[in-house]
Amino acid sequence: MPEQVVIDAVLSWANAPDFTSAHQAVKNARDLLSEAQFSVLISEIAEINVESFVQLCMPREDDAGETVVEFEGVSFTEKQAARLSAWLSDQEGLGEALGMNLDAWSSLLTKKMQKLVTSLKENEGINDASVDAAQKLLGTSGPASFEPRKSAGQGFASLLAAKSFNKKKQ
Amino acid sequence: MWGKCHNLAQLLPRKPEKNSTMKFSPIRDTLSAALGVAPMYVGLPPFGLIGTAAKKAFIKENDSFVKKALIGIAAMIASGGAGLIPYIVAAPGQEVQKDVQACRTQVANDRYSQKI
Repeated sequence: MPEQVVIDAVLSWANAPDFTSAHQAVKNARDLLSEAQFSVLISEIAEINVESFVQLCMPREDDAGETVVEFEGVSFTEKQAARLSAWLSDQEGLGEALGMNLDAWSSLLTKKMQKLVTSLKENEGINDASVDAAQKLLGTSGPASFEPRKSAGQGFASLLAAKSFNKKKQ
Repeated sequence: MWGKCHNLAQLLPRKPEKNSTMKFSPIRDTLSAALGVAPMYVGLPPFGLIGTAAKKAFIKENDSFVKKALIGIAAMIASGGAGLIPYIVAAPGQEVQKDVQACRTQVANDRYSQKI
């Protein structure tokens, strides 16, 4: 269980009304917390972040009837894809606010996803298609490469790599 | 739009710039400007441009809903209704961001309420 001061910092990040305010909350915490406390904060934020990712992967009632789009061999409704895109678009800024480069942040999220999936499947007996989809996207890769993707199934790092590649093309 | 996208990266909303007005989005802003001049096709002045200009000049990505609404209403009054059009076009992306934030809030609150 983290110290209360760390929990308070996590909650101020999680309860921020938008991404920009959330990043600012993390930056404020960097000034307030010790190095050890801030390491715990990073770990907590990463775990909450991947759990959110799995929940955002899950279909909702109002997703029904939406056109299905496919990415990395995983099918999503348009609304699911929009949620995952929004989550993904936050990661670069969040990693930066935490003082981590994209490779390190990507690698940490991947490890946390593997841990979460193991926990869901083995400890809680949850074996849902959404968990598999989240694992396929986020839990199966090594550190991010900034090369454009050549094959499917490389996970979160490839998402970030594809994003960076698109930016270079613009 | 969505049906043509095969890569999630193509769907990424642009990252908002700190302390800046809303970032340029080619599709949204072209559409917004086109709607701004739409009244000209029926022989009216381009009232909608008042809304487009007000949105660019006074609205930041992370401004409160109330501020956005007040500026939108002011533009609507100034343009006799047509100025509201660009605000309607710009709305969707922020709802998804709020959805992500709400999910994160719930996960965090559940996490610590169970442990305390």
